[in-house]
Amino acid sequence: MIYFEVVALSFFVLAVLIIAFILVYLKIINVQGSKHRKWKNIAEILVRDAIFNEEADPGLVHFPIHHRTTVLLKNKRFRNLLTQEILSAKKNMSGTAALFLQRLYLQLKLDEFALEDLSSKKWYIKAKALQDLGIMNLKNYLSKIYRQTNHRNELVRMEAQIAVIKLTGFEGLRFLDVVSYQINDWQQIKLLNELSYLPASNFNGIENWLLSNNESVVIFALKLVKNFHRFELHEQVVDCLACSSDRVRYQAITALEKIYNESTSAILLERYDQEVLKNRIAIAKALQQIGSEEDLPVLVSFIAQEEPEQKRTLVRTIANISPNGLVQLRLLPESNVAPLSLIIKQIEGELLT
Amino acid sequence: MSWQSIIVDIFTYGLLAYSVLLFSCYIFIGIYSIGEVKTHLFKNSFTDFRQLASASQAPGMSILAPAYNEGANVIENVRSLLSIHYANLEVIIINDGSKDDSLSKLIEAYNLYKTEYFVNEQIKTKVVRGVYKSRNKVYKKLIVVDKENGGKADALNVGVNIAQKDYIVCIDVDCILEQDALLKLAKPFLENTKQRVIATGGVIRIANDCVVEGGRLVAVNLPKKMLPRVQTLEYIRAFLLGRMAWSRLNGLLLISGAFGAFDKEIVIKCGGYDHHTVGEDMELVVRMRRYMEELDLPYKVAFIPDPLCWTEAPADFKILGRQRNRWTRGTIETLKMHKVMFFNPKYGFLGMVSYPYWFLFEFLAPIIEFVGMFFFILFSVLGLTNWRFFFGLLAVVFTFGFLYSVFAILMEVLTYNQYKRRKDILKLILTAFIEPFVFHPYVVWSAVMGNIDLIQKKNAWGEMTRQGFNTPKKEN
Repeated sequence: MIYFEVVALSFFVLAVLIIAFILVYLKIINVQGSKHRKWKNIAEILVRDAIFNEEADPGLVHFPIHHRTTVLLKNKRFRNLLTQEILSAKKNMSGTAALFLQRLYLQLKLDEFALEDLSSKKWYIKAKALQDLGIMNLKNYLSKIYRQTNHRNELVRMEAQIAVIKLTGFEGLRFLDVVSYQINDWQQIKLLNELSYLPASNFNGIENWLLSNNESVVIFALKLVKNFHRFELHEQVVDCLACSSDRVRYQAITALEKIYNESTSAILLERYDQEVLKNRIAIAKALQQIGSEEDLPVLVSFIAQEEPEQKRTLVRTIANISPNGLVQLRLLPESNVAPLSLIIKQIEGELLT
Repeated sequence: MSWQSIIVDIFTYGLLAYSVLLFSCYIFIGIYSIGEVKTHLFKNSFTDFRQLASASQAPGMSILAPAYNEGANVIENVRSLLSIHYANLEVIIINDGSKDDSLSKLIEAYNLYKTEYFVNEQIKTKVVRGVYKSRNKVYKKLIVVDKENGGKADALNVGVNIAQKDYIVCIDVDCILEQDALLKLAKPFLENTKQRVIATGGVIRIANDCVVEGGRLVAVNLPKKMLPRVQTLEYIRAFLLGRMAWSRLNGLLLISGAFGAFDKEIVIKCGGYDHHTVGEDMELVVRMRRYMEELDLPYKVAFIPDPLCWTEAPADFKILGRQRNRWTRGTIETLKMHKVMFFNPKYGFLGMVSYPYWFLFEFLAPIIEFVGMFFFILFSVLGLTNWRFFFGLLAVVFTFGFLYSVFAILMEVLTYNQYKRRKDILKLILTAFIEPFVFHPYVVWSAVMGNIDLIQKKNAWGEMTRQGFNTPKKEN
């Protein structure tokens, strides 16, 4: 029985210790809060002075740094705060102001700390260092960053991939040649977002990436074709329709919608019967944009065999292609029977609004 | 040794063994959740959710909000949902045969007209009386469905049938969402390449006494009343520790009905929400998991520790009792429907760990506690109680419960720190101390009543009267 008392007492003592820790922690947070405000003020002044510097050549400028700031730079917390302030400003700046901020970052030797962090074994420190170097546009560290684009940790390689694009633009996409891990959809959104800030360029490599063994690279390449309207790759994208992966074929269909030529709709219609439900709907939606009156007979022939959701998309496609499409549909015997009759009514209603 | 003392020994040592097992699980959950929360926080620091909000590649989300007699607040609630910044979104309000003026208010406020809409009844539901859309292009994301009353599950199923996007987000219409809640909920669907993410959920927090302006939460306060404050602590414990650990183990069985996102294709293949149970939220997750296990498809149910949704907690014992009674019935019904999985290796971790845990420690715990108390009184009357043993065990149980709550408060302070004032944290610690005396016995009693109601086939939802959120007082 004595064990119960010991166990209960141990639990209680542990709880009291945790409470004590919470209270001390809150006190520290409180004290740090006021210190943080002062430091933030120092950092903001430094950033402001850098942005509004009147020196013509950012390469020549030397910012006056107060002795107190130099001492504070030895403090990791202050350094992190200052780095954060410079990075936040840099993200929203371009031109000379951005170069001044880069100069300030280098003058404070913050890049050396980032480089140190790059060798950390903790993934989040490494990833943060990569992010910092990328945002600060420090091209001289490119080779070190590039090496991390196929890192085993997902976050590290994601930040490295973004950083190389920030540093070298479309050229940075060459990591797609070697990446052996899957690039998830979230990373693809981030990469496309990063690329959208770059001036349009007829970059190379997509044709090779379309043949990659890494499925996610093929999917990403198809998104590149779509976003950058690479009409010359029509044939290679059509080849992707024969791929065994549903996801690749889906992306190929949506890419073809953006780079279509006179043969595209026929190719998609030919593919229709062999496709899974999601891809059939994607084909029907693509034809809303690229279909012509010539496609109507085939589309109308699909109506009979389809389940309701496909029927609805097909009817919408037929109606979008030509008002004559709905007339043809009305001639079908099942057009007076649900669900087709109801779908036709819905689509007619949509056309009116 | 008399037969009486043998019975007493079996009973007391059985109770002790159960307690040790339960504590071991809690200790494991507490420790195991730390890593998951930490990883999430680090990952979040690299995430700019705004990229997702405007991305054309963002997954399509259909918000499904069932409304029954919500006339008083429905306009504001819908406005709040429409203000969510997300490009690929539709908002579906399902008027579940309200007897008040909800529908007419919506028609007037959002300039709605009845459309000719073909409802693809992939899941069988009550009759849909009409589908409404707005003439005003500003509200093009809005769809209002009017249907015969059939309960929350039936209303959600109608929403699933109407939804045109790939993912459905089920929410309680009176919940307050964080500005970036939908983005955070959508992200896990994009992140996994090896497993299909079939559902995601986020942390629900208590909004009593918080300041709400224009459908947005602008100031977080700790509830002033005792009962909501205990529930605040309870939610921190459940969401920050329990669900995070289960998420890390990929063994989560419950995504709260107040706010969760689901893969529509899997929902439809599973047959949608089951309207035969009052625990339709848990039942759907279990059924989806079971479906994936039976087809041997790799999958994950993800969970986010960020506070995404704020809801009003019952502030009086009567309503709290109804809620807990319903939760108990929902749990039992779900466990009963899927009893084939109990310690069934065919269902892997789900069958061997998740399901048995829920059975042994969620369903059985209040019953064992209640029976234990009953027998203690009986043994005391018969003079068979070993008082030292009893008080020793009671002290262990109490101090462990207190320790676990204090640990949850520590996690809250170290991570999201929603209640920044020292006074509030001290109040939470005090709440942790008194919870076992004032709150816990009532919750156990409600759970026992839930069991009895289920045996008596009482399946009422139980009216949940809400007081409404505080809004700042206007200055004269």
